[in-house]
Formats: sequence, structure tokens, C-alpha cells
Amino acid sequence: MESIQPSKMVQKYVPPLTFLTCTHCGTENSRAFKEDDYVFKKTDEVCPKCGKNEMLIVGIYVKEKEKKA
Amino acid sequence: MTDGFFLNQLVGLEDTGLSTLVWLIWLGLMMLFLFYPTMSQRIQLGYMLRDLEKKLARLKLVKDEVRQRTIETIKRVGKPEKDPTQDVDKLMEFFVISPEDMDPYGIVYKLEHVLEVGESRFEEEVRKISPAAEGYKVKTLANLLEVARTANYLYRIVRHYYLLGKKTANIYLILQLQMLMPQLMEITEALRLASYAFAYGQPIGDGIGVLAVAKLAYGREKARYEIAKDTTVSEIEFENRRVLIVRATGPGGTVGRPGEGVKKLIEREGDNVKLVITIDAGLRLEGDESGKMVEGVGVAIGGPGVDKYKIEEIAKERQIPLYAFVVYESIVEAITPMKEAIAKAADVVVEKVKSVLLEKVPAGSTAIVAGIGNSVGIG
Repeated sequence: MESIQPSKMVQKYVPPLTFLTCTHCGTENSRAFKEDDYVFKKTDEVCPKCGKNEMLIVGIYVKEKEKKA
Repeated sequence: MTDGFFLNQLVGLEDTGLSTLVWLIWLGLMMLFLFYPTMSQRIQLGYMLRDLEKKLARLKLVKDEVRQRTIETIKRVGKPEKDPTQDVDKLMEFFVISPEDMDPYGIVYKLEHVLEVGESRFEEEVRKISPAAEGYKVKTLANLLEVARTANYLYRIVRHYYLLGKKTANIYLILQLQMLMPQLMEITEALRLASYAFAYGQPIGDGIGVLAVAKLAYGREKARYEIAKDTTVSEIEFENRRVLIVRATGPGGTVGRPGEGVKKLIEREGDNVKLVITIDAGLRLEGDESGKMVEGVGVAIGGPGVDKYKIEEIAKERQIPLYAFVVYESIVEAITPMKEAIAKAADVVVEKVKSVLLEKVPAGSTAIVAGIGNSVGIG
């Protein structure tokens, strides 16, 4: 069977970002998705602002490019 | 006088050997099309078969890629003692036979039974080949295998019609297949991207209903318990109204049994239930905006119809109004990692549900809010 150049058809996989909120000061932060992340999971990651190590995952989604007006 | 000379005289050309040859070829072709009228169809069929061949090759590539990702994920998460390749191949051919519908009486419950047996058996098999995987991860792995199974099925169906059309030189069969191919290729690409989501446990677009109710319950939850298989109820108090939130149990990949859950709650709560709201992802039409929320009445649940039937049946019996919220998305967006526009619609839905609860449910009464969809990546 004839092989084809897949580049024309293939949609690129864009990994989602994980969005976290500090449970103490409410600072929002985002990072690349890690396996075992899920929405409403409490993690012991350190808040970049207040330094406390309890952040809540509030969203996991693929960030879209802003559309030009 | 030669034939060529005569023909060239007709169109005013000089008699050269080349022009005579061209005329002869032209005449030959005319005769061929005259005595063999399906010739043009044969040429067209050849073009279409070549086009289908390329697309079939792409389908095979995707099917193999998804299969390979499934095997690698099972090895990484499930840590089986032996190579799971053979078991994966066996499960990719797994089938469920729908019940006989010549006599439609009781068909919904027969279908439910067959689907439940199929689901349990499939999960059992996945659990066997993934001994180290936690309970919720087994469900996500089962979803991943479902994706591989669907990609395999799609490939086999297209291959079947391609080979059948080629064997019988049936242009009409090939034409129909070729017309369907753009949509089938789109679904195939979606399956490829879906395999990433299930391999890593990322929320998918279809989970918007679950995400919205999880946001509604978060921080307000008074009790949480399982009402049906893979289905959780969270009880919250909102402005002096009791709200029972039904959703699939996350963060594993499952849709739960929201129909059974809502039915049991209404039977238990009796006349206290004044409203049932369902929230789900809805297929948008081309030109519609992804992530747009729309509202209506009825039960917003897709799938084989068992859950929808159960809610409609009991709601009609007790005269409970049914409200529905749908978030638009494409078939590709529904099974691939959730996009920003869809995730953000969850907050819009929560606000809308709150206002409907205030408006339609009297203080002191109970309402049921069911978030429909796959709970992968949503705790």
C-alpha cells in the first residue's frame, strides 16, 4: 500500500497546562501538566508568592492563542 | 490519397506523419469510448481507489500509533508481569451485541444489561493486565483501550468497503465511502489525540458537565456518597435549598450511571424534588462557537439512551420539570484534551444554574443537578 506524507493531515498534540491557586493567599499560577494531576487535587507545591506549600489545582486545559481583533 | 491526408484536409492541416498519428489515436479513443462506455467510470474509479488507498494507509498509521501508545501506557502504569501486547490485541477485537429489537418491549433494560456486562468484563480484563494500577487508573486505561478499539474498528470498516468496492469495481460503493472519508479522517485524528488524554489522565471536552458540577459543589459539600456504580452524589445547601449533585466519580475516566443515580434520588426524596437540571457537552454545528452555553428543556445526555430514558420516565411520573444546559463543542473537541474556551464555560454554567435554582426551586425544597460526561482528570 502506498505510503503518504502525514504532515498535511496530522493535528499536533498540544499538552494542556495545569492551573493552581494557593489555598492561603489565592495566588494563581500555571505550569506544564504532570501525570497524576487532576482538577481539585491539593498538591504540596510551594506558592511562588507566600511560600506556603499547599496549592489547589483549579483547571487543566489547553491554552488557546488569543485571536487577533 | 491517404486517410491522414483526407482528415487533415477537413481541418485544414498539412499532411505530416505526426498529425496523422494524432488523428488515428483520437479516432481510436473515440471508438473505445463508443464501444466501451464504462471506460470513463473505470478511470474515475481508479482515481478514487488511489485516493482511498492513501487515506486507508493513514488510518492504519493512526490505529497502530494508538495501539502502541496503549501498550506502552499499560506497561508504564499497570506494570504487568508479562508483555500485554497479546491481551491488548484481543481486547481491540472485543464486541458487544445489542439486544434483539423485533419486540421492543423492555429493550432499554435489556440494552442496559448488555452494556453493563460488557463494561464490567472489559474493565476486569484491563485490571488483570494492569495489576499495579490504582482503581481509578484502571478506568482511564479501559477508556484508552476503548479508543484503540474504536480506531481499529474504523480502520477495518473502511478497509472492508474499500476492498469490496475494488473487488466488484463498484463505483457507487467507492463514491459513498469517498464522500464519508473527510469526516472519518477527522474522527480518526480525534481518536489519536484522545489517546494522549487518556494515556496521561487529562480532562477532555466531554467532561465539561462534570467540571461544572464539581465547581458548584466545591467548598459547599455537606455529604458525599456513591449512589450507583461509578456515580457520586454531593449534597450541598444553596440559599436555603437542598441541592443533590450527581456526577461520575473522578478522577478516573468513566461516565458513571447518572440515569440510575437520579432515579434512585427521586425515589428516595419523593415529592421534595422540584427540579432536575442536566449539564452536558453538545455537538455544535459548523459556524457555532465552541464553549458557548445554551439552555433548554429535556434531558441533556448522549450515548445509548438508557440514562436519558430513566430520567425522563421518572420525571414524567412525578411531574418534575427538566432543565438542560449544553456547552457547544465539536466531536474532535469532545474527546481531546479540554480547550480553554470550554473549560471557562464551566463558570458560566455554574452561575446560570445558581440563578435557575433561585428562580425555579422554592426555598426549603430539593433540586437535582446532574453533570454528565467523562470524569477523566476531574476529582
